[in-house]
Amino acid sequence: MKEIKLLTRRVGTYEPPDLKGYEAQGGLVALKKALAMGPESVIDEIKRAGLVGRGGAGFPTGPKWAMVAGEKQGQKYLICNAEEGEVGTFKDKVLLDGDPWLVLEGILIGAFAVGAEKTYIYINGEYDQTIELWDRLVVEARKAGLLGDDILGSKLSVDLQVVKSKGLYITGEELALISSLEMRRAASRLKPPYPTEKGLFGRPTVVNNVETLANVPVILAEGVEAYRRLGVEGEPGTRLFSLSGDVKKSGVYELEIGSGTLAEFIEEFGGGTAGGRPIKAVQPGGGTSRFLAGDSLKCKLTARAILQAGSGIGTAGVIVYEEGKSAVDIVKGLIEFYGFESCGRCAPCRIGVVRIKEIIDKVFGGEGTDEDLEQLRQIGKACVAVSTCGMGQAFPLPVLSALELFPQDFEAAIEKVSA
Amino acid sequence: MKEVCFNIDGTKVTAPEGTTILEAAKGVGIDIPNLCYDSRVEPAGTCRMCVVQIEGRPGLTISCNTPVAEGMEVCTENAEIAAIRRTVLELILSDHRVACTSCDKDGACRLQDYAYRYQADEGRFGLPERRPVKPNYATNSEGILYDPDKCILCGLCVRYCEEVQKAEALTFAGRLGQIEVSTAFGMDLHESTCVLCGGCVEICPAGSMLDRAAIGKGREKDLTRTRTTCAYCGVGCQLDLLTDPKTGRIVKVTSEVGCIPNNGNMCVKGKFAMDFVGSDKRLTTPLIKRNGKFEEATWEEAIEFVAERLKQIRSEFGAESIAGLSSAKCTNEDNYVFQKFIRACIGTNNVDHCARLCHASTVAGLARAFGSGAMTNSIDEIKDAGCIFIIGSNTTEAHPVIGLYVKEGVMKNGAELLVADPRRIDLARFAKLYIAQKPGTDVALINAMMNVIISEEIYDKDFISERTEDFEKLKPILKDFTPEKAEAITTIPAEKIRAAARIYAKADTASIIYSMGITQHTTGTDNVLSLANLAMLTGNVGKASAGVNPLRGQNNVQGACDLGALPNVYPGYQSVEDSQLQTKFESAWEQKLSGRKGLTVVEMMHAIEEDKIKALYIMGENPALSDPNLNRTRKSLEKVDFLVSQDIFLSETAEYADVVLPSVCFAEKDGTFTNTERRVQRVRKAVTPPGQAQSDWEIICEVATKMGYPMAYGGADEIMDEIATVTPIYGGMSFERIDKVGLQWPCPDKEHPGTRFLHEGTFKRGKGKFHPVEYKNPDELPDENYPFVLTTGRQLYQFHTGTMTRKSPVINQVSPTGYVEIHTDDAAGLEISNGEKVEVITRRGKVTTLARVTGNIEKGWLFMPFHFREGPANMLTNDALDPTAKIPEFKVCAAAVNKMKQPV
Amino acid sequence: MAQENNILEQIVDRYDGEVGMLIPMMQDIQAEYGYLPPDQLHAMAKRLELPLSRLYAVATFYSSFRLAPKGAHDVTLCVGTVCYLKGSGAISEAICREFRVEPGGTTPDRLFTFQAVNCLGACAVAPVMIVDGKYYDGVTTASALEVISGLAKDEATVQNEGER
Repeated sequence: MKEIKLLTRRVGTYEPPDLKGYEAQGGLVALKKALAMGPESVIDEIKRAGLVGRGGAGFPTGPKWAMVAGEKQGQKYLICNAEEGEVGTFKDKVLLDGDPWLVLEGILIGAFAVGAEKTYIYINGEYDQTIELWDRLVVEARKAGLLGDDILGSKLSVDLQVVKSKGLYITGEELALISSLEMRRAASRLKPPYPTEKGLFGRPTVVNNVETLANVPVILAEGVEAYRRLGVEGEPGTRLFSLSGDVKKSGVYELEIGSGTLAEFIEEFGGGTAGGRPIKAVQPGGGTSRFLAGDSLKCKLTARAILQAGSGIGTAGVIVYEEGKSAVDIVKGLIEFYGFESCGRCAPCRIGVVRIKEIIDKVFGGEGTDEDLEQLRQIGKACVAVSTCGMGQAFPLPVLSALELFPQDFEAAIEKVSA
Repeated sequence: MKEVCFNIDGTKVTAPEGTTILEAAKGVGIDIPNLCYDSRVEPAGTCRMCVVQIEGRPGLTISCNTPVAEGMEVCTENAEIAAIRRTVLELILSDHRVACTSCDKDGACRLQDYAYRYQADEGRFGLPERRPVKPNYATNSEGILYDPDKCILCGLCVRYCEEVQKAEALTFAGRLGQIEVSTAFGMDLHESTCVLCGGCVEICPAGSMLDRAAIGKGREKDLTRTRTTCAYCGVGCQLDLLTDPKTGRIVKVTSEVGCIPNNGNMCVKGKFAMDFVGSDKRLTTPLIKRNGKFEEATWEEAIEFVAERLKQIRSEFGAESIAGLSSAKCTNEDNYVFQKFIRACIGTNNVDHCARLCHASTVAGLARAFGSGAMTNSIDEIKDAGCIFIIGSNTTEAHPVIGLYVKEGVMKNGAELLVADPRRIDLARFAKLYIAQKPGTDVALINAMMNVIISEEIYDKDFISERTEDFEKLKPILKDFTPEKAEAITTIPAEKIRAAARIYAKADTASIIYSMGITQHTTGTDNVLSLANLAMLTGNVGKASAGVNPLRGQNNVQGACDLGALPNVYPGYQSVEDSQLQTKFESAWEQKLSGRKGLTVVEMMHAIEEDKIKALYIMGENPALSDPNLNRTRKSLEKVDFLVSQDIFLSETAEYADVVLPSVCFAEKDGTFTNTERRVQRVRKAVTPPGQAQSDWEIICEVATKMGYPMAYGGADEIMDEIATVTPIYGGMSFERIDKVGLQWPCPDKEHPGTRFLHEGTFKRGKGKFHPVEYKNPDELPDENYPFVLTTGRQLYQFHTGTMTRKSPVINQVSPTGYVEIHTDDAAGLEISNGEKVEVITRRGKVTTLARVTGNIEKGWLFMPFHFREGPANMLTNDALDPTAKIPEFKVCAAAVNKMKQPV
Repeated sequence: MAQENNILEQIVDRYDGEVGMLIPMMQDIQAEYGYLPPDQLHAMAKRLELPLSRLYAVATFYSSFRLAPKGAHDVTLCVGTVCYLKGSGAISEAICREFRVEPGGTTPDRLFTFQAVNCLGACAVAPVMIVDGKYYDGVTTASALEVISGLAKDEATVQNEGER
């Protein structure tokens, strides 16, 4: 396995917000191409490339753009979601800091394709330096005629607003993000209507993840055929994997999709487990993904293979846990985080997350019973089945999968006292 | 609308496209459980209880936000869904203090119902921790109680406040464990933007919000529910009076979602101001004034006394020396009997009522232009209008529930709202254009709008040629009436007048809504004719959601007019001067009638000064506070030889009476009211009258019989049957037919379905008639000594002379006393600060009141509400009359305002 | 007051009074005053023609907004996953108990404002506490309380000296 630097090839090669450094390495070629092609052709190319979103839900980008482009009248918006709040995920920051012009170029092409004059980048409020950099970047971009009216001498007008998020997990959820931008409490909303129909201020809106947008200039510059040569059937291109947890070397690595297995990735890039013990479990798609263990770690690094193995690729945040830790302990750490993150809008998630946290605390403290484990399953399943948004549907997954994979850990925790 | 065919739990169902699964299921009797749904607000899907299984779709889908589709197969419940619902309920219960044993909602609580249905275990996930009781936004409210420990955070109250009432007083505050419903900064409800409509209490599914005054007074399941029509304004809201069968008292008021016209919505008066019914100030026995003091009397004595005095005066001075004031607060049956009494028993047409003071000019103006003086359209059509033009109506305060339809039209259906009012009323927030005309200059504004419409050729030529006459007479008068000319008169910038004209004329359907800001002028009839001109010019009459819509002020002012409590017409607007009609009524009432039209309200008062009126019989009216130039009115009341006041309270007017007869209020009688959209609705007896109080029509019948004209009915329904035989527009009415949702006149026969909007195809008078109207100044203009223009009006929390509303602690908390609104700059010039005592002076009188300094009124103008007996605005108002309609000019007079000398 | 309104005007103008910028505007107000003064929110609601309840809802949703003045010092404790696993939850509880403060709140004597935040990006040296910008790595309950008590002493010393 080796890294393929497609999206990250300029990272570290120039000093943002220096635009010349970016242009010197083929920057803005894609934007110029796009302007010459026209919006429909751009969307066709993105569709042909088979790009899917990198924010967790994996929705195809081209069709999403087409929906918004289809609305011909009135204001439309494009939002670059740079909240990156998922546990174990820090790959967008690499692009935001290391090659922000690539992201901006993606935003501009997206805005051009869908006809959005107003765009936003919603950056995690704890990424102070990143926000500062983007503020400077916008100034530079205006100076260079890359934001404002008549961009690069074309008729294109796009403005970009940098918004510092409040650092809440839930604002990574697109509808909560939109609520937040509308000056409301960052609470999720019902779908339908989808943001593509009625998004920001009731207007059609594209919400794309940073990495997704960074793929766009690459696709246009390199050409769809070249792009599709990477990856596997149905999942072309590369992906940025964040690796953390009990590994020797944490970091972000760009890999060709399907180029190796999860176990190989952890071994080769993470240098094995931190304490040298065997791997107990891995969350391959961020803190709300189901655990994988044993043979399922041999799955390829594709969305489909990870799904078949019993989890999801999510944000591609790979978190490794080595033997020696109780699953109860691991789950407690995770739920401690999610327990504070429900927006509170829907009953099952708002109350469920607190009850689950209480029960796990009880079990962890050695006061649990079989009945408690049953309640965990019951609440978890109900939340997964009926929740509105990704947060409510996903936060119980690690708990449920830990109960399935490591029942002995939970039983041990219970028996500690009964014994 | 397209119908789609689908399948719910094995039953084939059809419903209009766009219907949600939840609503469609309800239609076939399946109640999909939900704790956050109400048809009046957008689905939020926060309780997640309403999930269903749709064939071919993965997982579960919520039914409150999912429309049905052709061929869809829905399973509303199976073992898996039931188990999930139970878990969700148990989660909710783990956060809800279960206090059913002491909760008013017991037996009428959605949460309790579902917990029972799914046998949810309230302690399964632990019982909620009891938090220390902290003061919250409702702690000091007289009306509402909020218990955060019972709150399930469904958001219905917040959404109702935001989406339906648009008060935006309530919101969610805090996060996660600390989320609660609150006002901004937790400020007291009555100090926030709340309008106390009580919608939050009504919509709460879990007993977290309650009527404070009703706590402990009876669980909903133990109370008796009586559907009736509200006795406040003319909207005709259907209310359910909940009474305790043991005490016979009203415990609280609710309304049912789906009822017409209010769809379960209420305003503060309907919801929280029914205390007057059970007030200990109610009259319970007849009173006769002897040696200047009221003494209790028996009914026999009182009836005998009244009959004898009236007979005596009639024989001495003639029938024309007696006059009667009927009442817009009383039922149709009361009014019919009263005018029949005056006409057939006394023998005069001297009968009028307070419609003279509110919409006499409407009746006169619209009858001339269209042939019928009522609201052309229905209330629920307002929300579908392309343009809503509100002029001289503070709709959200005077007709709050109609205000909701206006807001819905703008916010949900994209209607363009045009507001013309001297004050920046609340609806201005929603307006595409708000313009402030100087009081009394409406004709100038409308003429200039028509000038623009004609010069820009955006008028409806086909409509004018096919449906109207005298258009040619209109043109010359408008030719020079440019927006610039109107600007000089109205103070509205000419460009804004142009914009207003375009917005109105270019809409597919434009509905004019007006009220007393138009009618209460010496040019009231002219104002109404101008609006009729404007509507005809643009073809906005005779179709749904367009038209000219006067909002009637009193609950039954429409009915009192319909049933002939007017000096010139018999019931159904049949002229007393038409000999054929006279003959018809003479044979129906078996009595010779006068063919001379009688005196109007203010004329009666003036006739007393001239010794022409010797006796006045007043049923349920309070001219000693409601009429203009009170000093003069009160002198007349004092002067008249014989005054009868038949009322529920010893009102300001009753103080002057020789005899006071105790009558029953709306909650104590059967009958009908006719609301502002011409809908005849049932009034039903919910409580027993206090003491010996009797129905108005029964008292009148006894007096008439005693005077030798026998009148007797077996019940209000019999009176309605008689009304139907002599009143063509009510020809098809009967208690049976109006039982559920009422019936809108004209309804000529028993098969007729009633009329939603008037003048379809043809006007009542044949062709619509244009009337050229010249602009005239108000009767009194500001000068050196009286530099301000004073206008008067209503406020949300009070009604008319306050006899009913001011018995409510909820109302008294928010609206304790009167005030005068004055612009910030004027106040600064006079060194008057907000809340300070000031005196307001006109040529007719002087009152002391409190200053309310505001930016919502223009410089040089003053506004006073007229409800308050302390500092009564009508001491100041001008009793100059409109020559046609005889309506006084309540809305404009010249005034001065002074800072009070500081007490030493 | 006039000057204060200028501050608000400047902040609103900074974002062209744009609707989507309420939260940044509120952040700037907080940067200016150290918290969100109610009168400023009233003025802001009026200026932006928004219901005050909406501003209040937003201000209470995001834990970093404060509706009460800040303390003399800032104490920030990371309770992100890694720090939590290494005991920051217990440290947080101890601080709250010892100094009668809630996360997001200020001590009754306004000595310090306490924030519990998710991940400061210093997981390698967890648990992490920041006091007035200074990082303390690998803190324990005892060491955290000691650092904060040090603040108390400083303050007391300053006051005493002032009195002398």
